[in-house]
Amino acid sequence: MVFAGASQFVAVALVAGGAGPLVTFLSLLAMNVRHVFYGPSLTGRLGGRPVPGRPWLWGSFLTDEVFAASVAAVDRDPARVGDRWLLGLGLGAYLAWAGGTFVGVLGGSASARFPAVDAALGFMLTALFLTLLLALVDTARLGVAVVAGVVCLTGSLLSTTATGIPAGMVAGALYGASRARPGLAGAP
Amino acid sequence: MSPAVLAACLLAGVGTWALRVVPLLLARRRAEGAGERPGPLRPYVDGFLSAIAVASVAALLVSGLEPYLVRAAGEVGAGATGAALREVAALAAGLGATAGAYLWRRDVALGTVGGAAAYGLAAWLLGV
Repeated sequence: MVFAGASQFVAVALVAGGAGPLVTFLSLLAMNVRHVFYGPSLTGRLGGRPVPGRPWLWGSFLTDEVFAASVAAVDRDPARVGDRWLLGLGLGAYLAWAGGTFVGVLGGSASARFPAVDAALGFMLTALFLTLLLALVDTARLGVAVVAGVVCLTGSLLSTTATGIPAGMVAGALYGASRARPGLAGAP
Repeated sequence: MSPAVLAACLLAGVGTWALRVVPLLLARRRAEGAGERPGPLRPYVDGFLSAIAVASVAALLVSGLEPYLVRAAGEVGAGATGAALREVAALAAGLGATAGAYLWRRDVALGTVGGAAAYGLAAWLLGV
């Protein structure tokens, strides 16, 4: 229904805590507001190439992970990233997410009996984001990553990660915008 | 789950779809009118959108690291320095293996799986 991992955790917590429908709706939406930047950012990196067809379809799968993987692929080889590629990536991620949820419901806490597997699964997303950052970052964008990371950590420690993540994203992007110079499209 | 909460989740799904797709459609329309004279703020908007990918992944990485760091800091605060060092050592092993495996072949999947396996093994061996 809502293809967004963080929202899934929030929804479970809200429903288990007896939250009302309006609070649930607004909380889930607020969790995903950051996604408004993903489509324009992705199309901006195509370097004048036409936006792949059926954006209303593949765009619906633009989660954090799918967006980051798409941007890394566009930076490597923009010609390869068409609508079928984007749809395949998004659909694959959705099926893995839905399948993982289903297995989790059936298996419960089975992985807890294997501490090494449990720890590895818990670290998987962190490892994914590190590899995606290594794929995306270069010297010119290092400052953006540092500003985003510091603001995110500060926001998370002072409030929650739901505050820290968007605060870090916006702060890093604003730093990037502040480094832009008229005539230098796409800087930094 | 009550029907009202179920409807709220359904509406949140539609809202999330709109949050992703509407800006994308607007960006496509803007790209199609690329010959138009850009406004004075255009370089800054482009700079913002260009930086948002790195900024979001960096923020998501830090949010993933935060629980490990908070746990280690809590152990130091409780006087369990040895446990905190084991926590940090396992984390360093995981991050090092992730970076090493990725840089070896420039392969995101290899970096992710290799790093997660290394962290799991290190955490198990160190009793984290």
